[in-house]
Amino acid sequence: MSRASLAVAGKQDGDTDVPHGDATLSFDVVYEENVDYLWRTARALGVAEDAVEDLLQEAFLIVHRRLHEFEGRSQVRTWVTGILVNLVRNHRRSRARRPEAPELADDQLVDERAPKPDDHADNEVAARALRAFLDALSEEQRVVFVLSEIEELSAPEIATATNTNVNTVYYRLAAARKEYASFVARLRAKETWRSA
Amino acid sequence: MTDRAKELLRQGREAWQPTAQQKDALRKKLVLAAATAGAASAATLTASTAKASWLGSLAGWKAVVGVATIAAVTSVATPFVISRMKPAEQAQSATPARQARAHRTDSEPRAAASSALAVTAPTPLPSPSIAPALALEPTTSPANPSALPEPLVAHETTADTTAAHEGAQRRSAAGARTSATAGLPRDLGPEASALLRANTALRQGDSRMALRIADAQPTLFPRAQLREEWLALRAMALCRAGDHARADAVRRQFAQRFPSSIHLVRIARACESHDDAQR
Repeated sequence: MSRASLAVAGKQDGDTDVPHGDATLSFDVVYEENVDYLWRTARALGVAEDAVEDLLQEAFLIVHRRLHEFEGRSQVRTWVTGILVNLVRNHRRSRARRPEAPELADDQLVDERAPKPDDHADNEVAARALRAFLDALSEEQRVVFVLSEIEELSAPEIATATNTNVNTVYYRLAAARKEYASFVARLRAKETWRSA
Repeated sequence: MTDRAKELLRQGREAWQPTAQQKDALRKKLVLAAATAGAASAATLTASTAKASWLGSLAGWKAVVGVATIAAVTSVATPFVISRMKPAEQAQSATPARQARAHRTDSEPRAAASSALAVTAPTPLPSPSIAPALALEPTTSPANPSALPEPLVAHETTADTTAAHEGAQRRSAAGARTSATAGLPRDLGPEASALLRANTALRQGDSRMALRIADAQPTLFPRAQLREEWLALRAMALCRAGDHARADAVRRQFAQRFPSSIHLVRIARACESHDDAQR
């Protein structure tokens, strides 16, 4: 089911259907449609693997409680994104203040001691490098970059989800993309050096 | 954006994808969390729906577990009686709690425990504050735990005229919802409910009751999905009951089977006085 149709329908047999104007919203469908997306996004936003389950549990309980209040002025995905982003922000603030984001030293781009990426490890190595890049971004830039470049939300959707002006989204995205281009260039150089 | 840049993003996306096990664990956690902290709002939502979902029907599961217990425990001869359940525990976190309160109504939810429940869908209950009307309660005196167990008895809750009318309306509506359990994880809901009752009993200081429910677990739920929680509960209940020899054995077993469990802290806390005495 597409995001748009999810925002107005999503009814399936056995679902909890919540009256929503002329349409209905189903928690089960919202859950099934968004659990992967929210999990990935939470991880990309810096939530540790051992904490993401608790965070998503909280997110879905909020979704469940508020589903009948959802007015459909935005897409469901935008709505749940807003919930997640707020939870992640609170999660980060509640934890002990972390040291300043580390500079992207060369040895952080590629672990020289790590085996060369193979089939399964390839994604993990890439994710570690990407995580290092994301950690170096500001929180605002990170949210915009993750939602736009990894999850492919549009700028207006991100603006709605983060309660931000769309121009601000574009500005942050441009800055993050510039950083990313620089990061990838350095990464490629490093990989080239390693394989030489 | 270069191909390498796009590829890196794709790889990160795939690496952060949850596994089936992780999603299953989250699903179980959601069910448990809603049962312990959010059953109230779940019941509210359920009342306003035409069908039940696996989460929204948590309150209804309590009716199911009651009947399941009747069927199973009668043969096991565990001394329980199906009767009214105390109000569900309130949400723990501040925000969800406020949200849950906002959804509450003043109506008293009541569910009739009838044999039909054993084979039909659980009746969604309308209010959180009263959540399920069925629960497990001991019938034997705590002073006489070894007394022969009485068979389970299911009895309909007493209700005033208004409530009876509301109950009739709900039962009528439930008839049209009999197929609503299609999306409900029958295997987990009753087990989660029983665990909730045992946990509640433990928190209320009734470790004997908690142990009785835990003792019934292998028979009631031989293929339990919440083994870690059951074992943790048993260890804590034994500590609270002062049966330190058995508690130590269960704790050792728990530590071996679940060495990184988050429940280890809770168990240690429950057994604190015993541990202090040993030192």
